[in-house]
Amino acid sequence: MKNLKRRWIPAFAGMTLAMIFSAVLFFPAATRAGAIPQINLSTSQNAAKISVIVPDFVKVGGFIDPQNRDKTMADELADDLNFSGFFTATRVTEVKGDPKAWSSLGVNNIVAGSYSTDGREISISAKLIDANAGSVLLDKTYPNSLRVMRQNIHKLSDAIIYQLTGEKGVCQTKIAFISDMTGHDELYTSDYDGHDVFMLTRDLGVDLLPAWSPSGNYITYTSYRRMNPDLWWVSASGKSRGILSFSSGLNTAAAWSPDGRRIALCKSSGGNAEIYTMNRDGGGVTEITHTRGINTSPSWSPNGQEIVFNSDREGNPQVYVMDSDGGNVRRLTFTGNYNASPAWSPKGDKIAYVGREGNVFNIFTMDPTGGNVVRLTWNSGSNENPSWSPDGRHIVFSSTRGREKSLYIMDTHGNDVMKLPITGNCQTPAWSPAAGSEK
Amino acid sequence: MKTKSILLACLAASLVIFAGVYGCARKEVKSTSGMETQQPMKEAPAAPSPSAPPAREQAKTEAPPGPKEQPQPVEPVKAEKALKDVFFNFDSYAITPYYASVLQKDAAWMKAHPGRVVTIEGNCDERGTVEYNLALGQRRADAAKKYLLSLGIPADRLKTISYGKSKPFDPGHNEAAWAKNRRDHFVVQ
Repeated sequence: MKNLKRRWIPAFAGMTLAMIFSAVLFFPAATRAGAIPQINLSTSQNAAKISVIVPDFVKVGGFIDPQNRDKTMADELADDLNFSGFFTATRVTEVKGDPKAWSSLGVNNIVAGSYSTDGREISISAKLIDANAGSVLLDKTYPNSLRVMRQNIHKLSDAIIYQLTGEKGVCQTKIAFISDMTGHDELYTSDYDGHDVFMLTRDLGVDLLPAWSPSGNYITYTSYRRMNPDLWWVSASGKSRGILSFSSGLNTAAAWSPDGRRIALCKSSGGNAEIYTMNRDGGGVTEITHTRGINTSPSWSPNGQEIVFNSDREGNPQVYVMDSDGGNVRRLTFTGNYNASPAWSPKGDKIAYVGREGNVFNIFTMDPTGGNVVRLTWNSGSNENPSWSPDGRHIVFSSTRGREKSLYIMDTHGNDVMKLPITGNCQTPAWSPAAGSEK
Repeated sequence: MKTKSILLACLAASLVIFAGVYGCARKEVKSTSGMETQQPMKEAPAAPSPSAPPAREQAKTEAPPGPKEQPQPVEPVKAEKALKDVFFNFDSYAITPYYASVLQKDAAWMKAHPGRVVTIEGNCDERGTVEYNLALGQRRADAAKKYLLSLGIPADRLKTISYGKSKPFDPGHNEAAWAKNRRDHFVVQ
């Protein structure tokens, strides 16, 4: 009986893997049907992915868990690993026998998770096993996990990603955004995957355009609560907040410098929408654009020396770049009559932006010199406000491709699109930095 | 007769199953939406003690970016039919001759009602970025203000505010809706 079971599980896993591999091979082709042909890199990328098996978490102590956390924790872990782009994580119910049997099926690693309870709290443990050597690469325990179960699974995911790839994962990062789920445009944060939604404001008016401080501790945003679009700040915990820039007219589209000392924003108090920089406490305000047109949407280069922005100084909205003191302005976009919302990638190698085509926007990336334009969204509603993950491997954006305006995440090739499960019309997402999240 | 009763039994059974499935589905929807909206927002009290909240922050190393919020009453805004709105072309803040005549009538009403302050709300259609449309809406409001100033309305009776594309008058996604949303809306205080 035992023998039979041992033989049966690898066979089942083999079938599952075969199904996944065939899905990987055929799915990109299917989604591209009808779209404009383009070079698709995803298949070759998948070939290099690390294969991980994630069985149900084992309940240590034989207690009954009415919430089936043995399955949900394993599901979340597998979702995290698959999202990262480094792994093909496969869920199974259990793993028994020699890990080498899995290795022969092409499995690189197994995550053996377990959890126990003393009746009040829950402790999560997990071992990362090298299937070929049978050795334990990582052994993690997270006590007191009852109220922070998802966060601790995200922590575990990032630990596994770091162990196997040397890359800092983004599973513990957050996304700040605006949703009208209550009937008003309020500020929220969620986990990167759209779960654990947390309401930060109750302004009962219009809130817009959140931006994270580089530490991840504060979010600035524009609010109309004093009947003017002022710039406010709120701590990520929601416990404290205040007003930062409240000159008459616009105080919008703020972006923090990478060192966290300056904030660039659009103000119209001088009679024209211009970009200013100011200290993080609102002092030291300096105007850095001086034109008759609209200047807005600043985004800093990762080294803090340049700012990419949006201006209609030559007749229609285009993307420009300047030194962070306002000098040395160069135009970057020349295709189409409306390019805007630029976002500099965290590694500095790309700028994402939106371009208007007919009545909708699509998302593109280009080099910081304006060359090598790549289109990331196709025939899928209006796609706006791209924001990079801190590792530069994904982009979150809003799209009207569904019934409502929702948030979506894609990789930097426009593939592996994932809709975040958040209610209401959601817009102007901002991906948090990774800083402070590691432990 | 027999087949008829079997058919009836099948029908009844499928109804029961359907009702069960429907009930479950409804419950599920309720519970998820409840989970997402139930998160309470804990705002700092209106007049916080100067020492407390930043110190309670998890990251104690970083000071808050600015001064604390001072409470301020929000004035109620009442819409007034007396003033007619002004509409614009796409990505434009130019006041066309027709709407110049509308503004002349608005100015006449304001002169007949001295002491009334008017807020000009600049709005845009959805085909533009949030950031750019905020600036464009401000330009539209400023354009009407400038024209009213030239007609002799004093500056202290004219306020402007831009809502960009966040307060559409018509939620539709077609030219008819967009045309209505590219407007300066006048609110009398």
